[in-house]
Amino acid sequence: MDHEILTSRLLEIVDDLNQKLPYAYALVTSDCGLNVTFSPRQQAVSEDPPSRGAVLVAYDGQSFGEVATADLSPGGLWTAARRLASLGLGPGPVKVAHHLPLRGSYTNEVEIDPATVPLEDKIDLARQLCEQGRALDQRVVDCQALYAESQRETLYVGPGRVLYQRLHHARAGVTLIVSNGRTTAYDYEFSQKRGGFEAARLQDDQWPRLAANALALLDAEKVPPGEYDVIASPQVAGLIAHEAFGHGVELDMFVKGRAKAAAYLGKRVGSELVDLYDDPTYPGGPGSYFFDDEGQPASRTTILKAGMFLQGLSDLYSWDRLGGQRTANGRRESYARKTYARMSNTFFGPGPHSLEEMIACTKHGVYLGRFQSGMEDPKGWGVQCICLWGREILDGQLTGRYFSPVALTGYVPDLLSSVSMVAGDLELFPGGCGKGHKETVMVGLGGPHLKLKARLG
Amino acid sequence: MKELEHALSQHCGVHDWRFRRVFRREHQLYLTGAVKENTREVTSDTTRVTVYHDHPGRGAASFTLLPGDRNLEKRVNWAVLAAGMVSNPPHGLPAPAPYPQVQLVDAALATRAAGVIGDLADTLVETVAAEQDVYLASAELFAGYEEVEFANSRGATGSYAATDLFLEFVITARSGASEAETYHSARRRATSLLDIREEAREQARAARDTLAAGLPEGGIFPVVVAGRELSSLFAPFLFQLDAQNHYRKISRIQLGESVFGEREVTGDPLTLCSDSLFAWGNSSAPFDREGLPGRSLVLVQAGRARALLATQQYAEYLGVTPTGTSGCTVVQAGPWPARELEQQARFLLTSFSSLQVDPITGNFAGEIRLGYDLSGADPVPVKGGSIAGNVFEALAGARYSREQHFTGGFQGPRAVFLPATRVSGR
Repeated sequence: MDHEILTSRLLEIVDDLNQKLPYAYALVTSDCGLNVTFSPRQQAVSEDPPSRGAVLVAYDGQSFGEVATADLSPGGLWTAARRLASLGLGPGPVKVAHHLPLRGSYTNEVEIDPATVPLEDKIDLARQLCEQGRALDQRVVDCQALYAESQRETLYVGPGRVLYQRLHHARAGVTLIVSNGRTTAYDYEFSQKRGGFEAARLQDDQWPRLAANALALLDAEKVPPGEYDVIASPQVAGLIAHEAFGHGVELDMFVKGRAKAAAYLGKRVGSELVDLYDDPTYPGGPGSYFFDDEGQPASRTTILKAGMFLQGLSDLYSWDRLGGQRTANGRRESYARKTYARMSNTFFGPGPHSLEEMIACTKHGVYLGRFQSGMEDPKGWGVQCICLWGREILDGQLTGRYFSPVALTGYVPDLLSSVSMVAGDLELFPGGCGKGHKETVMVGLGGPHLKLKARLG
Repeated sequence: MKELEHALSQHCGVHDWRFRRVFRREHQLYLTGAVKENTREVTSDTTRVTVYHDHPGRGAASFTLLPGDRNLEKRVNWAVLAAGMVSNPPHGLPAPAPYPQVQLVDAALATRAAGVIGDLADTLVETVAAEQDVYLASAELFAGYEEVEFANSRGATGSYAATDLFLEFVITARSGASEAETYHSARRRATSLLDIREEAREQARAARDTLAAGLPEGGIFPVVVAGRELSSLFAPFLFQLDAQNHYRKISRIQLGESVFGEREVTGDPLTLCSDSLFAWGNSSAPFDREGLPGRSLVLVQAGRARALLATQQYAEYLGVTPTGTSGCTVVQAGPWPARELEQQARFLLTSFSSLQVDPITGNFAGEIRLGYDLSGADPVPVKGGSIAGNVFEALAGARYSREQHFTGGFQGPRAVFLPATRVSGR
């Protein structure tokens, strides 16, 4: 998008709206991307269905009115503005109207901007990944390789603030499907680094791991239901951070009376080993940004420190209702959806232990390696984490026994209080996060290896 | 669209093409408690274009036009270049065909959407307020109207309009200092298909029951699964009966054979259809994304695979009839009264956090949000813990209720009895 032309158009409109309404701002989002997929019998290349549009927002201190349009022409934007002014919002006052003036233009730094790489190189990359995966074992029936890049541009124009950011990323992944004639199983690996085209690679150690795990899953068993000593991989630790506590401290849920965490502010909810952060400034984080969709500059939030619940995540509405510190967590799926309080990069802080120490002191437990999906329950403070696989630990060693799938459930304070060891190997992973069952935004989630107790089934 | 058709037809590198334009307007209303938090109006207009280039295999690439997009020629050139870099076996596009009529437009939603969702919100607030020991925590109501237009290079063209209504709400039950909530969502094409009063009352009851619920006993038990997420148990059959997945050799189901493989089928015979003509179905349409006419298709009859869901491309690869993409899932009901199935089950499970079903392996798992332990004289509410299993094993022994329900994308038995399900609990 040509953000400079749009800025001049929107400054005039936002100024006009702020003379008629207590508080108004404009946000333009533009998303685009590319997907290349290669499998032995199928090749495809396509633009991600792009989205581009503006939302004009008004707030009277009680409720919002919003008009969103894909028509960014002067006529289209003024029509939206007139419609917004006619929605019948109240006279205010609105305390947010007096925030600090700010102007800025930002882009995340990458070594190789995907936009500068020829399409042929991206297709070749996917082809090579597919061939490499296919050659891993004779039992591979399908190997789907993916190269994907995405770009989001955001322009915020509000009273005293004009902010623009461009965030772009590239990644690669391989899903290996294997069969022994009776059973079909699969596992996947994605690029571990975040960045530009240079990051869209699988590391050498990922290939043998991918083959070993996928093939082992052909003989996977169902885990006998019960409570176990669990070692969560950084990926699964991230899922726990996100589902168990992250969603429960999104402050719009406090306003709705939907979060049990509201009664625990300043209280202990986890063991002293547990620190939890939400950080949109995390360098190279999948959920990083420079400002949120309500023009709030990004900053790190310490949610839990030594097991104590210190701070939740706010959007404008929840901050206005609840007071306290405003955090930069007002996020939208796109211009077509409303803002909610959302996570950015949410992760457990590192600790003093190592994975080897954790395994060595586990008599009977399960190592949970790969997440598949999760679901929050802020009101009941329950958690559901579905893992693609887990591995048995017996007498301080990993055995060859795999379980799939494995559902981890529990009561959040019990789960966090049971954390007995935290490793130092913090990693962050990308994930698509929904609010309830919709409103997907890109987030980062992660942590180091954690040892805890949990119910598996 | 004339300019687009002209640009595609005249380009020497474009050997076939198709496009699909969707114009959409939507009204959205958000409540925090019973109070309006946000009112939104959204319009969008997107045209998805796919270009085919032969060289001598066939490559395809897709791009999307948004309002105000310029440089159409540049976009088409990019797509031709991209299509030239990937290669699949040659295939054709759907030929012109008469498209059936399907009921998809609710006049009220099409003409006065804001008023309709405002009325529904009032009804919801009023109904919840009349229920004991509960309150409305939040609600979201969306009403959409869209116009779809399609054309391809073989001369197939079509258009239709459709409406949709999405509703989600959260009801919280309170007893002293204890609270528990239920989340409910529904998507329908017409307001008459949604009894908001009944749904709110049912959720209020569920919220009160959740408040009293404890952890279920763990073990392997006969269970009855009922409710909104029951339909997801059938998703692996749709995936495995998709021609694309047969072509990729990742399907384990063969036409003419049992969909349960070599497992002994001890339950009711499974008959499953994909119906794009199902009146008011969320996935119903006169034609699919590639322009194949909508149809009603029996995929599984009495437990045996009868047909594949096939786009034109994969139908040609496998030599089967092109049927288009999936429509509304219709599962034949069984002979059993739901109460009779419940009498034979240890647990009745009505709500999950999210029942996750893996379409490749058929494995499923989900945390129990609300269920009932049926072992005593009266049902005892349970929550927490989880169920896990594999649909190809579980449904081989399933029994289906004769009572049916329609959830927008699914028509079928309201309850399914699974004889041996792994329950994680106390």
